[in-house]
Amino acid sequence: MDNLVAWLDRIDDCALGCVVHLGAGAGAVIEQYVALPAARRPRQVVLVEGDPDMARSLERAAAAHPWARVLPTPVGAQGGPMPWNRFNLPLLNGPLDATALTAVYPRLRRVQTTTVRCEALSDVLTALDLKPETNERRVHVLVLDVPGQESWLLAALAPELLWRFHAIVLRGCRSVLPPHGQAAEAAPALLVQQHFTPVAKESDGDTLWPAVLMRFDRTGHELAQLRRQVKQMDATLKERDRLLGELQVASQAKGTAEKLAAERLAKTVEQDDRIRQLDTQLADANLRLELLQHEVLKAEGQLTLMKELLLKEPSL
Amino acid sequence: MNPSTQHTAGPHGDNAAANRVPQVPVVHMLGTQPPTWVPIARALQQALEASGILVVAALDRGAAGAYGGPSTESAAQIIAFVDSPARALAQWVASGTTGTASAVLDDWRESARHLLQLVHRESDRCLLIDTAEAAAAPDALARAVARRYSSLLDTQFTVDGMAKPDALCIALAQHLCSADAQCTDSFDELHAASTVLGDNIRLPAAELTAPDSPIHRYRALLASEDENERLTAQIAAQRAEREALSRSSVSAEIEASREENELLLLQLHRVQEQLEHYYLQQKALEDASDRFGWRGVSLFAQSAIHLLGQHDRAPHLHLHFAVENVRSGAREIARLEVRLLDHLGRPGIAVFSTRSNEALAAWHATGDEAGRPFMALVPSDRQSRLLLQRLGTADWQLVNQLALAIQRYLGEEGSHLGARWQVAAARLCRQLIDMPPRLRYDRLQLGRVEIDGGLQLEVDFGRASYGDRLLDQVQLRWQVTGSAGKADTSSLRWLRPEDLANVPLAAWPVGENGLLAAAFTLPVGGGGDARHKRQQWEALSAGDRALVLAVLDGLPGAAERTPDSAMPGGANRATLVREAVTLHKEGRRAVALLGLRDLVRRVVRRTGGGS
Repeated sequence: MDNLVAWLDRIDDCALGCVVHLGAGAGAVIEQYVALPAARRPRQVVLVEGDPDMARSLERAAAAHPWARVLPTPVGAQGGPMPWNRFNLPLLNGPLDATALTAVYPRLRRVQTTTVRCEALSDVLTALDLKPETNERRVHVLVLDVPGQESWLLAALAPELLWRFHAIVLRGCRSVLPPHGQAAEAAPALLVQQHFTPVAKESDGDTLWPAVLMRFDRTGHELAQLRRQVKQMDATLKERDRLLGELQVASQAKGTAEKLAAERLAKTVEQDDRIRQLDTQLADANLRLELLQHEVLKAEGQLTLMKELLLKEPSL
Repeated sequence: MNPSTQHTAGPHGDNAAANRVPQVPVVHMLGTQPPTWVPIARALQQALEASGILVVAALDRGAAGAYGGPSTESAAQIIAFVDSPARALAQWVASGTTGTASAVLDDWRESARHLLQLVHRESDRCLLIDTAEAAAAPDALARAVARRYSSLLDTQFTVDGMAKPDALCIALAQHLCSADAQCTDSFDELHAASTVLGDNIRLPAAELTAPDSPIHRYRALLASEDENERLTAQIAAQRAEREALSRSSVSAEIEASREENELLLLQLHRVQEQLEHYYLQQKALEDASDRFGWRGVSLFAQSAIHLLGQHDRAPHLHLHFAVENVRSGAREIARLEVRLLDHLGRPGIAVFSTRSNEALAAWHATGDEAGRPFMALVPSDRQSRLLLQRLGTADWQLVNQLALAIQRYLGEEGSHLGARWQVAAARLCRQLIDMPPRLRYDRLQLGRVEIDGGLQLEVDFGRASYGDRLLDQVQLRWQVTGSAGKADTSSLRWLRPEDLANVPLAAWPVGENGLLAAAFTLPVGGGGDARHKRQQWEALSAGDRALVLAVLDGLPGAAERTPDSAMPGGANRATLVREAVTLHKEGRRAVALLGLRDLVRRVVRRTGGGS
C-alpha cells in the first residue's frame, strides 16, 4: 500500500503538533515518519494498532523514538465486543471480512476469527486531550489507515472532535467489505459536510486503496456557523414578535375585562344600595301596617265596648 | 546474455505494436529487482511466443511505467514475477557483484512499490508468479499460465540457469531483511497477490529451513512470553474487577435497603403527622358541629315544612303546618305539627304532641283538640310568657326555629295565603326575640363536693345559654350557710370553663401569674364587705352585670331541684331556695344602687357640685 505518512508533507506550511495514526501496522510507519523532513516531522505521533502481534512489533520499533506513542487497542465506532479477523496477509487484519478481495489476492485466506473488546474512537481521541498549541502554530492530523472502516469510524465522531484536526488523511477500499465497510467515497463526502475540503487525492481514481487528504476549512466552518446563528436570530426575532403580539392582545383583553369588572362592581354596589333602600322601605311599611292593625284592633275593641254599653244602657 | 536485448520496448512501442496487430495477444513480462527470475521468464517467453503470443519483456527493470510496464489504456496482459527481498539479497550475496545490500533492497523496494501499484489498479490483467515456487515447479507454472492463456500450447519447459544460493547466504539475507518492515509488508502483499501454482510445491531445503533459524525461534519464544504475561495480567485484572463488582454490588444493595428503610420511616412519620392533623381537624369539626347544632342552626337543615290547613274564622285564626325531621337537642323528631296562631291580633305558636315531653322538654299542655293536646305559646299572653321563660335552651331554640321556619315558608311560598300571615309570623319572631334574656339550661347537674373540710354544693347548668349567647360551661360552687334567710356568710364562686377562649365574663379576674383566675367569686353573700362588693360590681360591665344577675336568677330554680344526696350538711331544700332568692335580690339591689349612684353623681356633676 502507498505510504500515507508521506502525504503529511502535502499539508500547507503549518507545523504538525500531534498525528493520530489509526491502523499503524507492524512498524513500517516508523521509518516513514523518520523519513519526513525535519520541518514537517510532528511533535508527537500516536500510533493505534488493534492487532496484538502487530502492535507488539510496532512497540518494539517505536521504543527508540520518544515522539512515538503506541496504543495497542482495537478501536471501533462504539466501545464493546467486536469480531477480529486475522488473515495470512496481516495488513488486512481487522473487523472487516477481507475475503472478498481474493480476486486481487488469490492466496488470501482467513486464519482466525476472535472477539476482542474495542474502545470507541471518540473515547480514545478525547483521552488524548488534543488542544490547540498555544505558543506555536501547530496543527493536529488524523491518519485513518483502516480501509473500509473510515466512514464507519468518522460517522461516530462528534463534529467538535473532528474539528480539532486540521487535516485528515484517509485510505479507503474500492470494494465494500462486510459487515460495516462502506465505499471509499463515503468518508470524503461525510467530511465535506463537516467543512473539510479535499486537498489531494491519489491520481488514479480506480486504485484498490484510494487515499485522500482532507483539510479543515476553518473559514467555511465559521461562515456556516455565522449563517446558522443568523438563522437562529431570525427565528428568535420572529418568536419575539409573535410573543409581543400575543402580549398586546392579552393586554387589550385584560383592559377590557377590568373595565367590565369595574362596571359590574359599580352596578352591584348600586343594586345593593337599592336593595337596602327597599329593605328599609319594607320595614317602615311593615311597622306602619302593624300600627294600623293595632289601631284597628283598638277601634274594634272600642266599638265592641260601645255596643255592649249601648246594649246595657239603652238610654245612652 | 543480456536479457534486455530481446523485444525491449517502451510504452509507446507497446501501443504501436498493439495497434498494428490488434488480433495478436500481447503479454508484458516484468518483476521485482534484481531480476532473479530471468531464466523462468525466458523459458516462459519461448513457450508463449511458440503459441503466437507477442511477449514484451522488461527483464532488467522493475514493474510498470519507467520499468517497462504497459500503459493503463493498453489491453495487454501482464505477467509479473515476484521474488522475496531475502532471495534477491541472497542471490546478490552469492553473485559477489559490487554495490551495497542497502542499494539492493532499495531497488527491490521501489520495484515492489510499482508492482503493487500496478496490481492495485490492474489486478484483472496481472498474473503474479512467485519466482521460488515457479523455479521449484515449472510444470505447475505452465499449467497456471495455460489456464490464463488458452492459446498456450501444451508444452513442457525447463528452467535452466537459476541461481541457487546456499543456506548461509539465505540466512544472512533473511536476517538483513527482517529488520526492514516495509520490505516485509510489501513482499507479504505481493505474495498474497501472486497466483497459486499448486498445493504441494516443495521449496528448496535451504529456503525451508532458513526461516526456522534461531532468530525466528527466539522471536517466537519472546512473543509467546509476552503473550503469556499479557494474558496473566488480563486474568488478574478481570479477577480484581469481578471481586470489586461483587463487593460494590453487595454494599450498594445494603445502602439501597438502608435508604429505603429511612424513606419508609420518614413516610410513616409523615402519615402519623397527617393522621394526627386530620384527627384534630375532625375533633374541631365535631365540636363546631355540636356547638352549631346546639345553637339551632342545623335543627332544620334536613327538615321540610308543609302547610296542612288554614283557619280564617275570627277571632282564632291559625295556619296548620307539619314539620318533618326536626332535631331538638339530642332528640330526633320525625314529624311535628305546629300552628301559627293569630288570636285577636296576637301572634303565637302552638305545638301538638301526642306524648308528653316528645316535642318540648318543658311540655305543658295548654289545650286539647280532638284528643290531641297542644301547647300554645302567645308571647303577649302573661301565662304564655311564663311558659316561655321556663323553657330550656333546646326548647327555646326549637320554638324560635319553628317560628323562623314558618316565617321563611310564608315568605317563599305563602303569598297566596294573604299578607296578614306574613305579618303575624314576623311579629311572632320579633316578640320572641324581644323576650327578656335569661339563663336557660338543659342538663342541670347538682352535686356535693368537699372543699377544705367543708361541704359545698356544685351546680352545673349543663347546656346553658343567655339570650343568643351560648355559654359552654356554667359551673358554680356554692358554700351554703345552712340557716334560713341568712346569706351573709354564704359564698358563690363561678368556676372558670376549660376552654379559656370561651370565658363568659369580659371582666373575669386575672391571677398573679397573668392567667385567668380559676374562679370568680360573685359579689354577693359573705364574699367580702359592702365596699369591696360594690367595687366588684363597678368593675363589671353592663353586660357582665346582666349575666351575673341572670345566673343568680337561675339559682333558685336549681336549688329547688337539688336532690337530698347533694344537699350540703345542715341545709334543706327550702333553705337553699331562700338563700338563692336572697342572693338574687342582693345582686339586683346592688345593681340598682349602682344605677342610682350613677344618677346622683351625674346630677351633682351637672349642678356644679364638687367631688
